[in-house]
Amino acid sequence: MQGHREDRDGLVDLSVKLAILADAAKYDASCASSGAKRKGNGKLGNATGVGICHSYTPDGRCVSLLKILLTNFCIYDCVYCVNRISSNTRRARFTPEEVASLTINFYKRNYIEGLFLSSGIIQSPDYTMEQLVRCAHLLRLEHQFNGYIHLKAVPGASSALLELAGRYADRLSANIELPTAADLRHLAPQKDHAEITAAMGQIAERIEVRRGRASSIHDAETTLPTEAGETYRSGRRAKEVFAPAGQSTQMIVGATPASDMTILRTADGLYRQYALRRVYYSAFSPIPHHDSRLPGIAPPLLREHRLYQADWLLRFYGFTVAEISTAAVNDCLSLNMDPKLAWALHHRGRFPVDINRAPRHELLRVPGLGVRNVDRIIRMRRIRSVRLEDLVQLRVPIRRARPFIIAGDFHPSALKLDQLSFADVSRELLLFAHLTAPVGGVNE
Amino acid sequence: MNDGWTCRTEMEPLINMMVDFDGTFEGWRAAAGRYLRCEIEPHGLHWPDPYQRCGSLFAPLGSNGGGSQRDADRVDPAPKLTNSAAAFRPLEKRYPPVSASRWAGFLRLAQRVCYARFSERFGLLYRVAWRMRHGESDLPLLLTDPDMLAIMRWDSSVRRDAHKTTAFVRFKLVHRDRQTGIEYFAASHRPQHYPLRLVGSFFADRFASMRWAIFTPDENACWNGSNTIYSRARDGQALPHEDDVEQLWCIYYSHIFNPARVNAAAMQREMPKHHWQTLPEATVIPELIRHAQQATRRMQNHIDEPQRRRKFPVSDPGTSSPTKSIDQQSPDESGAVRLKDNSGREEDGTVNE
Repeated sequence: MQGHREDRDGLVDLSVKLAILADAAKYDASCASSGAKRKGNGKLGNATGVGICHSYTPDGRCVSLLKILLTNFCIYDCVYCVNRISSNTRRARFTPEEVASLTINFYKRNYIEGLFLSSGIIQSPDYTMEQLVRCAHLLRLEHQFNGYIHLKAVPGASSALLELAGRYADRLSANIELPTAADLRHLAPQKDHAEITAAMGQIAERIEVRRGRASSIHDAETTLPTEAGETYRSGRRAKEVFAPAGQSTQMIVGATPASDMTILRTADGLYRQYALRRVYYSAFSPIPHHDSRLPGIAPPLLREHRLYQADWLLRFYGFTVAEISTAAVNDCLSLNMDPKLAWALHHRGRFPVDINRAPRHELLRVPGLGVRNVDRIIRMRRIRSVRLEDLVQLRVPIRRARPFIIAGDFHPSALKLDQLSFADVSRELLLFAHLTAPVGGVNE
Repeated sequence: MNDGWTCRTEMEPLINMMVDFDGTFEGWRAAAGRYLRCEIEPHGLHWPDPYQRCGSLFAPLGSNGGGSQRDADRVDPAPKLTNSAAAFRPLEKRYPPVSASRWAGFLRLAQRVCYARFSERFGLLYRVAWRMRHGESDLPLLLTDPDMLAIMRWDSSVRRDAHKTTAFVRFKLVHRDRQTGIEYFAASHRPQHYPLRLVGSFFADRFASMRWAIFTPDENACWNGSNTIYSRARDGQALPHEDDVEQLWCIYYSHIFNPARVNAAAMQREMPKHHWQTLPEATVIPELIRHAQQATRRMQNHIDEPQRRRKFPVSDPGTSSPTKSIDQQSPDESGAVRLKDNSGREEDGTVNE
């Protein structure tokens, strides 16, 4: 893009490609740029660890990365995908140089945290993966770009290419696509569930080895292409880093009849087995020219939201899928209330919880108390008793939390005292009312 | 509460002085340390707001100095005492010392609160420091104490503003030096508080090879390749001109947006309108929202009639209320449930549960 001022045609061409290939990438939910922490290299780029949302589109979603496909040409025919071979959508393909210069130009203007590059499958998984790696290679080595890079790991690509991808990228992701292997066979016959999980397994193993937690890896030192020997981070050997921001995956929700619990069980399995950072749930969007095997309408976005809430309970609140499912109706999360509240209502015997005495894991079960406020309460109660008004100040949704807690100045069953009429006493008095007072005086 | 509070009315006429400092965190810290050592009670001090242009009694904010260390040194070394005898009131009893880690934690808070757009901030911070030293060393943990509550509120507001500054500053290419290849960028930004000194190091680290300047209505920051230099804003600062890459950015922004999921309220919550005038992509927002409804309808028209009528399996068949299809759902209704988009959230820390 250096020469775009001279070459208007080039710019127009690039805008058209960008429009097509951003359009094609928007069904990927992830835009996270967190998890990698890296000082600047004195040239361009760093990673702060928290990630920054540089903009928000009118759908309320964050724009953190330049999220594009290298190409939307694809040899596969997955019915839920706009880019399937049988779709008559417009096609385009970036050169790796174009991807690199777009990334650099956006980054320098502080539009983005980095690049999220995915691609349709062209020729073969290996060829596609090699093209993706080439983009990252250009950015890291030629432009000395030190910002965030998320690369899609193409299932079926060779392990040498995955190794290279992990050295350049902060995060890798292989999409699980659909909740079950049967769903995948049905809607994406050319993709193979086992191949996808194998890619995840390889990535997980390499990440673990670099963090020094696993004892051995068979091929890490032997199968590396010579190119990988190059270093790109100020004097640090590239071998030491592999996808420092971990791996994630995405699952399409509502394209098949899989229930919420099936989805959560799959997600939970992935978290445990491959130590994923995130599973993204993407509510199926009706796509142009769609296939009859697909539902005609999108599932309510609220369903996706409930899945994310349940996912949060699994990762940060110590819940298990089995526990969440106790409150599920027909294997699905309630749309009316959040899964934590639903669980609490099914386990009333575990409440009220005394916020001044209960251990952290019990506080995390209280509806309305988030991780951050639980930690604040624990810090405060070391000094003095925490009262209901303290929770108001911490902006705890008090109406939701109140029935489930005991605070320094509050007990939920005491609420009932106001409602009690002490009827027995009054009725007894009533018997003698004619003796003591006019009837109206003791009338309830 | 300690005695300093109860005898407030008695002390008031005795000490009333204007603190002479440069308005930076380092300046506040140095001055507050000196006053604390002299046992000067909080209500006897008046801390002026350096960013308010009229009524300011002292030199402009650390102009062209560069390092903040140098600014701190410029603070008047001796407190000006109108009534020195009263100011050196001895402590009635010895209080336990405040631990170093507790001070460090408080100073981290203070560093951000010093840049809040709140004229009482320096006095408030001094009052809390004073109370910590006078028997309430655990005060920073009492998050619901009125002073701490105010500090926490300002802190989270400044933190958010500083974060939004790192997000919403938009550089424009102003000049490219043909010999050295060095590129000069400039940005105009309208923060809610005064966050530049908090985020200067972020920009310096990230954009080290560029030369950049950020202009705000109160203050400017400028990176010359080795130092970040802060200066007071001048009247009539010109906005940098257009940048060709902005066109591409707007194209990207328009096409990464999924019109089927329009939720303008969620967008505005995170990207308030007062930032729009410095965001190049904001120019296309109204049009995108207007076309979103039409675009969704267009997409659904590709679906065959019988299929559209077939109801997709409802995710919660147990409830009596039928799930609405997208066709029936008005945009207002879907906005009313206040969907938080978890997919866009960052993993650590930046989001409230």
